[in-house]
Amino acid sequence: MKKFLLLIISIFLLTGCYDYKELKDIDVITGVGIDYEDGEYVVTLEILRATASGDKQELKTVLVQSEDEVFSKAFETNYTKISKLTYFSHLQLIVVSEEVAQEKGMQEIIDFLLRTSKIGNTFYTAVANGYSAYEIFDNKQKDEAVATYLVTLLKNSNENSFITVDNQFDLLTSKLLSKGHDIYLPSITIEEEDFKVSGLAIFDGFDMVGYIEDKYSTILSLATMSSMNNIYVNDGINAINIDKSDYKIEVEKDKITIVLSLEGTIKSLDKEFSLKDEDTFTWFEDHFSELIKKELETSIQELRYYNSDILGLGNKYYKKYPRKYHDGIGNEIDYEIKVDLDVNKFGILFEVIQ
Amino acid sequence: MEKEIQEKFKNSPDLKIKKIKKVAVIYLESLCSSDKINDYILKGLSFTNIKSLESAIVGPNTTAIKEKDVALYLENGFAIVSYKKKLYAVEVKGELTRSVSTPDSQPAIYGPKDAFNENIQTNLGLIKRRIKTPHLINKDFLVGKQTKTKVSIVYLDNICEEEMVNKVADRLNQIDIDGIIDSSYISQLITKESATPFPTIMESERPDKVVMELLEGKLSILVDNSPFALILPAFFVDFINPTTDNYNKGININILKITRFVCYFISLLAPALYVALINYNQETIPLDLLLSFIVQRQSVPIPAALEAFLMLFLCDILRESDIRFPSSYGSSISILGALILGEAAVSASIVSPIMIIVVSITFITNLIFTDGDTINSIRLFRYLFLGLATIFGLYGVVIAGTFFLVHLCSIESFGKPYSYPMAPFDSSYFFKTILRKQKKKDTKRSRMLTDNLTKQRSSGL
Repeated sequence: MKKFLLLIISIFLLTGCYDYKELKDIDVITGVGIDYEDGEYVVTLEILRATASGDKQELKTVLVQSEDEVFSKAFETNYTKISKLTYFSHLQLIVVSEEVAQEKGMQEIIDFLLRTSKIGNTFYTAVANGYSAYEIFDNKQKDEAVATYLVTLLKNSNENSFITVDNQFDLLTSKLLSKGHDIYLPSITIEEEDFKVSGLAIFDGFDMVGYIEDKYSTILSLATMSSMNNIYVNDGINAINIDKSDYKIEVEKDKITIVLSLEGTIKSLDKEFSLKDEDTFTWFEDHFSELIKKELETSIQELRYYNSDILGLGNKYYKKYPRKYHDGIGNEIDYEIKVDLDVNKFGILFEVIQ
Repeated sequence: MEKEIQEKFKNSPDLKIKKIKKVAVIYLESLCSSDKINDYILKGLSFTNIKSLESAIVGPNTTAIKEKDVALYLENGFAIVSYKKKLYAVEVKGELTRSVSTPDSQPAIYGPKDAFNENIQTNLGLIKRRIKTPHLINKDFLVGKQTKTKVSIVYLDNICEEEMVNKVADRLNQIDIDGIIDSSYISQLITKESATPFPTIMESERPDKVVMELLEGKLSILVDNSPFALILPAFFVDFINPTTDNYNKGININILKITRFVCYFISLLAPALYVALINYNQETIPLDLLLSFIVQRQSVPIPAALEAFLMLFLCDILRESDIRFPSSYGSSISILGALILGEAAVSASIVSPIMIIVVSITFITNLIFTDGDTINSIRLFRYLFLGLATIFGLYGVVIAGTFFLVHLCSIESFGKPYSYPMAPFDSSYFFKTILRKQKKKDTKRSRMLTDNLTKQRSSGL
């Protein structure tokens, strides 16, 4: 009985109330901005504070900034400037400035973020294009934290949907640490005080190597995701919308084949065509297959120019021929693209309205 | 003879001895109806020959008795007719009970509206009126040294397990107590009361419910002077859904049945989960909701756990005062309580509005359950959950939940597992209690309760 009592008491006294936090005592941090200026890291924390005035609930964001040569020091000096307990579980977004990504690389930052126990791994990461991370967070929104606003923006920017889907930190690091895979981050810029998702920042290892334009990233999404897409392809007059896509990467010893099977619907067409004619569909299928193939080829050429393998071709190769793998093989190996486009015939107007 | 009785009852001034033509009629005035004595005994005695005494007594319930039983019969409202050495007991009981009324504690919109009262004969009658078969057995016992209360086991001998009947009879025989005031005495005396907070015997004042359970193979105990019949064995699921569900369409009632189970667990867990989430696991709350919580908690000086304990305590007080206080004083007390707890406490920043919501949900969901012991066991476990959630957060809720489940599975009701029909799983009982089959398809009794499985043949429709 004595032993039992001792056990119970020790449970309550030794381990009880571990991790107890009162809601009043925490400061919810929604965003982190990382800049590099004059040889020092500048870390900005965006704190979301809710206050009630009368019946109305008001949200206020506060920015706290610290700088130091060492990233972890710069990060943790911020804690001394915040009166409450910093709470990172609801961290939404980390914005890294171009200088950090290009000059310093992400190694030190990712290393710290993985090591610290305070921060989870379900936040998004983005690059500030043309602005510093501080300026991004300083561009305050009306009822929302900048981080929350930006994450919604990234998720909903349809054309770039593939940018954010596997951009959460855990997936990002697992990709980064696996062989033959490079990462990409969405970039955010400010245009007339409004946020805008601009090109895709691509990386070679931990270092950012450049941006690629939207048109490339859209077409590249076909080879990175198999899901319901909503991608618009046009050749000036005629256009189709790809509703459903599936991809397969087949690896041979000295060649990689990317097979796309797509389903689309016709969005606009030249008035010469008639949809009553079966040949029209065949023409569309052939024409757009070729077009998509060409665009994907240019996109991959663009990636190869930067030596960034965001499609993970090297990784696929490593999985099949681990002994023959060497770094950079994803950007050297020959590739072939096969597109199988199927244009759906449901729910269309037969004649072009004139 | 008369002198002996007079000696025994010398302190009962209501003992009357009336002599007509050498025949003594002895009875206790307070228990008997003088009309009945007049009709059943006196009229007969006055106009007929004493030699055929048996035919002179016209009372429907007349028995020849032995001398040693005289006191017992007298105390039970019989008149003793004594002539020479012969003794007869004639039932002339006065109507000391109220009439059959509607069930107050287990109301239902549909179904029969009669309820048991304090008279065991009436109660037995209400059951016998519904089951017309010689298989319906009632075994009588007299329990209580002073009260000599009549306790009756009622069961169907072709359905109910004999072992169960013997077990209950054994336990009833073992009772050594001064008095039985209510059937709940019996239910506490024949079970291990302290083993669990959960009730292992059902109490019901609805004869239709008792009959329904008898037909499933359970047995019932009726106790004189108590309007509640005991039904046993009883399982955890029996206390969640009322049997009056059987009066509704099966397809409709199932959602309600699930809702009740959800309510049970909300009532058990709501304050604990709230405290655990708000003090330990804030990351599980969506950001927008968290911000609203932060705003609400901003002005409240007490920690959320203390706030929860305080509110639950206050609500328990409120509930208790509502039950105890005579209803003739009106509902002013509850209105006052609701006003103080709801409106004033929030505006005085003693509790946060969200806490009011949590506690209200807890208590509203609790109102679904009518059985007293069920409510009390929920309350006990609610405090346990809340206590552990206060100290360990969600981890504590899991610990308490494990304890709850293990305990539930470890207790027995008269040798039957309490967690039946979930563990061990039995579809026939499962579809009588947790969910409901269509009446036509519900053709089997459950294996746990009886060997006589076939209840009805499935209808061709």
